Amino acid sequence: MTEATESENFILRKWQKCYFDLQGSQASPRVKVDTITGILQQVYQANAIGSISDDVRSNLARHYIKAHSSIVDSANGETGLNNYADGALTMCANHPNESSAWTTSLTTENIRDLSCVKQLLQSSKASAASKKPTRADEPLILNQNKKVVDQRSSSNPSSGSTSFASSHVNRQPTATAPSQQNYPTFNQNPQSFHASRPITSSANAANHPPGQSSTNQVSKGQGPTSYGQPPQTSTFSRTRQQIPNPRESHLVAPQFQDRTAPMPPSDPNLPRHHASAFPSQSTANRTQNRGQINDNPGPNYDGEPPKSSGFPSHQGYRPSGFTSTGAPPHSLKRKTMFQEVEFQGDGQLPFRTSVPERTGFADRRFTEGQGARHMDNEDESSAMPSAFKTANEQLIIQNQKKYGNRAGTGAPTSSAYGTGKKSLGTTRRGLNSKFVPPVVNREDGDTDRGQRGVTGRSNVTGDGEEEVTDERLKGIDPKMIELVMNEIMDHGPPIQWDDIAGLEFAKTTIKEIVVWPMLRPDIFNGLRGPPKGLLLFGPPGTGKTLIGKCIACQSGATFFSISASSLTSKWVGEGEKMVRALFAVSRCHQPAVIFIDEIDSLLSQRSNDEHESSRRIKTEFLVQLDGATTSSDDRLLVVGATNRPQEIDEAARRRLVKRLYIPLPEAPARRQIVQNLLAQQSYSLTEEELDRICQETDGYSGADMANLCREAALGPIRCIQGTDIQHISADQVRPILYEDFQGALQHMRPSVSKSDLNIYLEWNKTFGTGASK
Amino acid sequence: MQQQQQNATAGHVEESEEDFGPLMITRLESQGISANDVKKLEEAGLHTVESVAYSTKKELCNIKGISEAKADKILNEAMKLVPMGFTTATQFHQQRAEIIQITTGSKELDKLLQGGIETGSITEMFGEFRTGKTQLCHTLAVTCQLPIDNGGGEGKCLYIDTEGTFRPERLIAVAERYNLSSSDVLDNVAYARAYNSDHQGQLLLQASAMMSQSRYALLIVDSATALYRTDYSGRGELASRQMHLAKFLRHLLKIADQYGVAVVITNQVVAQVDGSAMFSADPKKPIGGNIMAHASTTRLYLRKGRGETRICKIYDSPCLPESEAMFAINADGVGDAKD
Repeated sequence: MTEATESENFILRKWQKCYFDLQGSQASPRVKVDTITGILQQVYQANAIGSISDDVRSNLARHYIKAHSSIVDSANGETGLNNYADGALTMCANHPNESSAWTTSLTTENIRDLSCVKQLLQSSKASAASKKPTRADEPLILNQNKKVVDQRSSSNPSSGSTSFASSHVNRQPTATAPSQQNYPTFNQNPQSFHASRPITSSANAANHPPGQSSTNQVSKGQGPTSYGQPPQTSTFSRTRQQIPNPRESHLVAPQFQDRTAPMPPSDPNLPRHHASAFPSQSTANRTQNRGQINDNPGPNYDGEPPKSSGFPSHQGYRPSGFTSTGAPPHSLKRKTMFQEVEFQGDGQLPFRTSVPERTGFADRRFTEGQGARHMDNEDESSAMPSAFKTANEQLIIQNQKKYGNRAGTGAPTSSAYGTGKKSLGTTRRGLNSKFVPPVVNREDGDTDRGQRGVTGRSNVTGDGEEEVTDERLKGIDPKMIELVMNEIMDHGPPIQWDDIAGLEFAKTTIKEIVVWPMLRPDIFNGLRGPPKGLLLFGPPGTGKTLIGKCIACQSGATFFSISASSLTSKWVGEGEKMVRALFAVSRCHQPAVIFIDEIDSLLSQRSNDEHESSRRIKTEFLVQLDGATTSSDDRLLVVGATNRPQEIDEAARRRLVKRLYIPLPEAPARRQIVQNLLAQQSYSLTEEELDRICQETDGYSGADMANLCREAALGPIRCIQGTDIQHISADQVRPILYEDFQGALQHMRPSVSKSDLNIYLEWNKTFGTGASK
Repeated sequence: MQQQQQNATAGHVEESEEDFGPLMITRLESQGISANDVKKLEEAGLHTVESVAYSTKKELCNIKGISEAKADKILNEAMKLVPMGFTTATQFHQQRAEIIQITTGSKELDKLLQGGIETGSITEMFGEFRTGKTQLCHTLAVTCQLPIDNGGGEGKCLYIDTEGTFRPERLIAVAERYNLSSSDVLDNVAYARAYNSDHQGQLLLQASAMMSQSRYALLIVDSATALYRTDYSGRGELASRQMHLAKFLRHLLKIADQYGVAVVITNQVVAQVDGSAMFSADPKKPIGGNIMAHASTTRLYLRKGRGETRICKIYDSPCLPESEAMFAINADGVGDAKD
């Protein structure tokens, strides 16, 4: 009793472990499969010792078999094994039992000559005639065989000659055939067999008289070789069948439990009892456990009608619940294994059988070049011996050579083979596929255009404007249009009006002519229409460019940032065409702002000694700005920024209607600048100290102020001694003090002289907009 | 939707193939030839009725299991299906006008060739190394997939490479130039590497089998002669080499006739070192001798120009005038030379 509880606990513990193994998503499919088979075993063990009832067992078994088959059969390489061909190829390889010392004497002819085989075939014929092959109430497992045709099968006909198609679950000892002397032990002394050897198959079973209840059996290439072996080993090839024969489990319960309970369930494939005698078959058995039963497609039994389909499925049906199934005829197509698993009344797991369908193979000829043929991704191309590949495959091969195969870190196992095949993909078209016009998908084209639209401007201007664009851009080189489009600034740095310290007059004027017309175009028309040109001038470093950036950010208009480099060209005449293209494009993208920094480079005074081409660019510019072709409705603003306003051509000056002087920052503005700049740093400055800084920096431009702050901010760092800089933490640096500013003021001098300022003031008085008379 | 469209086009192709394409050999079954014999023919590499009709009786008799009487019967039936008699020049002229020409990618070169590489005949390109032979082949492998209106052949390409110079990346580059889906372009190119001159011949057998199954527009043999140069050496083997080469070229011509594909082969050159070399400025001759010269319909001589430009000269053609054109090898395949 205690022993029973112990083993029960053991099973439960294992059960838990298996469950978590299975749930772990990172477990490889192979591990999962092994776990599931282990669980199945546990289920049967538990049932055998009476821990769980038959109902529970059948439910559990059903669940896990489904899970098992879904992993094994899955064509997806990540979630499944896709391991159809695996075992078959191994099996077809050669006679595993043969060695240099011993070769099998068994041939097809030998087997056929055996009287029992004759009997079998006869009776199967008879029963085929008398009974329907399948019945509705009959437990049926569609365990369709996958045929994996190996090249070797044709070169090794003897190995391919033994597809025995039938099978029998042998339970009731009836008349034993002469050749069956090996078997009495099985029938009479079931206790000597244990669950891990449930199906006594192998070629010997073929010798069973047909009247016997049958074990489903598939003989394979190596089947005949096992025939004639000593009885102990004749059954070895099934000893590791993973799905135990339930009936036998019952029979051998005590033994079985004793022997297998200590076994780790996660290692179900371990040869437990006999199988080690023939280790070479381990892979074969293993795959067979997954239900992959293979047959060799050789034209075996030429003279015989393939009886497998008609083989009576219930001939082997016995109260014990074992069934044999006949595969439906012409079942060449592969179906998912365990597609249909029906359980019998007593919940016992029927044997999976596969009956090689030989009709299809009887006259099938394999050409010599035919490679392994996988039914799962069979396509026409594999039917053709071919040295040709598609260029795509060739590319993959070359790439593999180049970059190597990164996969495959673990030790190779048998189930790892065959999985690599699918990396080529079943969707890839083979050599013999039809010609497919290599047209890029329409959707792809659309996204392309969308992307182009994004880089250009916005999608709004895309299609709707397309026709308009065409009209207005007529006669302009598309390359130039593209060049101009590249100058469109999509998203400048986000700058608020508040970031510009001081300059209140300039800011209101700009808002008036840029922002408001944008908001209310209906009000700002006619006489109130916004000016077309705006000139920002003033000493360097006072924020002219910053204003330009701010306009770009705040206006919401298409913003072209133009410099001389984007308009000039090495070809004569290209420059002015660029200017023309610029204006044409910007008209297409209304409202638009053209910002020309350092406008004096483009629109300087026209003089006699200047080059012809620069003159032409200038004149083109003037014409485009306000000429015969321009209409007053264009919502187009040219913003120029310069610190040499006196050099601007007078015609350009007229067209830049609003001329705003951007002066040096006043004391409050300087204070704001300092506060803005210091906001990100830790500093301790009193109000008075700030005021003092502002007083001492009279005549400093905004840029000078920024440099001053930068210099002052370095003060605390300079205080750090030597190598401490490597260890000091960021918050240990002392805040910026007034002394730092004093030190910085020693070094930083204003960059604008008073005499320079006078020129601007003079010019502003003459031409400026903001100057009072 | 996309799928449907594709299916529709595929179906269309199939139909048109039935109308204009080669007659499959299974047609013979309806003419009273037994399926077994048809199978034998197929195994011998005869996949179309045309190929049977164009074969000599001797060839048919050489097929295992076909007796002389049977060969007679088969030939008779095949000839009934394939028009092999006389036609008027008018009719032939009309047919010629409908011949598809595959663009080379360069306008200048197309102009020189009066449209491009002609289908249904053999075009040979020869020249020194780095004269653009292989590049032209790569470009053609893509352009043959273009729609007919765009100068393509609307068919797949079969590429036999003997020198190991096939680079699918180049196809991708060319495909991008024509805005084609590069994976489809690659899938439409069947590639094989030939390792010796016998293998090269065997590949043609497979090629004709493949051509009978889907629509091919172009067959490229990049360097048809490279393997012959080394497989046969010396004057002692000259005769057998030339015979083998002649058979190979004949097979190419047969394929061109049967399937209407354009056959493009490249050829290597040999320097003339004997006395006559002194008098000619460019002492290079294509190899393969007269056999090669007679077999190819159009012969193009490529030579290097300045930079990436190459010059193509018509060396021999039934109708093209002898003149030259300049093209360039760009990153995206063969194109026009920039001035």
